[in-house]
Amino acid sequence: MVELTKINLVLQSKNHFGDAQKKEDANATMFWTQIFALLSNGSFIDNNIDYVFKFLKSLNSQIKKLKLKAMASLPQELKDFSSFIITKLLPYLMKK
Amino acid sequence: MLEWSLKLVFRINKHSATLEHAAELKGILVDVMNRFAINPHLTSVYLTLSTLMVSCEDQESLRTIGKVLARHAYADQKELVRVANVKSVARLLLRLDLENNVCACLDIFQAVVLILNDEHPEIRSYLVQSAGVSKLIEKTKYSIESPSLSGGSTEDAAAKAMVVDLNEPVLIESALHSALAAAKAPEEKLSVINDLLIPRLILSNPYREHHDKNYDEKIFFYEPINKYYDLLWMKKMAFRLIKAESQVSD
Repeated sequence: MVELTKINLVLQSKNHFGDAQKKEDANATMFWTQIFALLSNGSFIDNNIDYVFKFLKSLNSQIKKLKLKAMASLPQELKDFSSFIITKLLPYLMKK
Repeated sequence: MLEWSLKLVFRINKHSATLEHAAELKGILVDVMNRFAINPHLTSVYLTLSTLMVSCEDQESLRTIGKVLARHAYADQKELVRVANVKSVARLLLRLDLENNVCACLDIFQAVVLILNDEHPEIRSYLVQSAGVSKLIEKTKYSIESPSLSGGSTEDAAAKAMVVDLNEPVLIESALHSALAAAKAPEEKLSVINDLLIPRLILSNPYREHHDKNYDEKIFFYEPINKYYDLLWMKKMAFRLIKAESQVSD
């Protein structure tokens, strides 16, 4: 189960923004709920550091590829994720 | 992990008007720099995020970011850091209101001068071609409008036209002229002369000071400081500007 989640995490992140507009909202919401739940768990990060690293890197490169117009109207989930990084993930990483 | 988390925050908020949780992020960035100041990857992200968060109306935060940008514009910084630095300066120039904040921007002017003297042509040309430098150009002397490019967007046309009309020495001179022109009050002019032109361009000799330290006997490698910053033409130009300014005020 954990393995499956890990693989899903990376795979989904790879194509989430490529066709973000086409994806149904329900899928996107489920994806982000899953991400927030996983990354809120310190031991998940510790045990799957490579996957989390790949996810962050992949997400970063996907946003980098977006056109200026799309950048101006990023989905709310991404803005929430930015807040999540600042308030939860970064303090956790800094403590280590 | 830290680097990519910070990069992601930057990417997501690059085009946002406001950044949520800015105070928390500021605290984390200070902590990151205290612990990993020698890591060029983290320093680069620190520069880009700090510039993104700066409030251009707040003179104190302009002074703080200016000092950071000027410190990281020297050639003894890693290339990766200098690239992040020039991008940050270019992005900041776009948002700056030089007319009303010239005294708070002296460090930013110093960073501009240092970048335009960088040994890497790519770093210099990035700034010359960025749209933000149009604020450093004397509008009466140089054209930033090119008739052949008038069809493009204003920002693009300005950026492209600058490649045609400007080079680094012209831009340096123009930037310093603009600093003096933006200083309307006599005390502002004195500040530009006494805090920027005299100490940083005429009296400062970073290349010679670097050689006095005699790093040759050390076993580790030190990047030489930017030798062009010591060039006599820079001192001569600063002296000429001060002379012209004093003649006007007489």
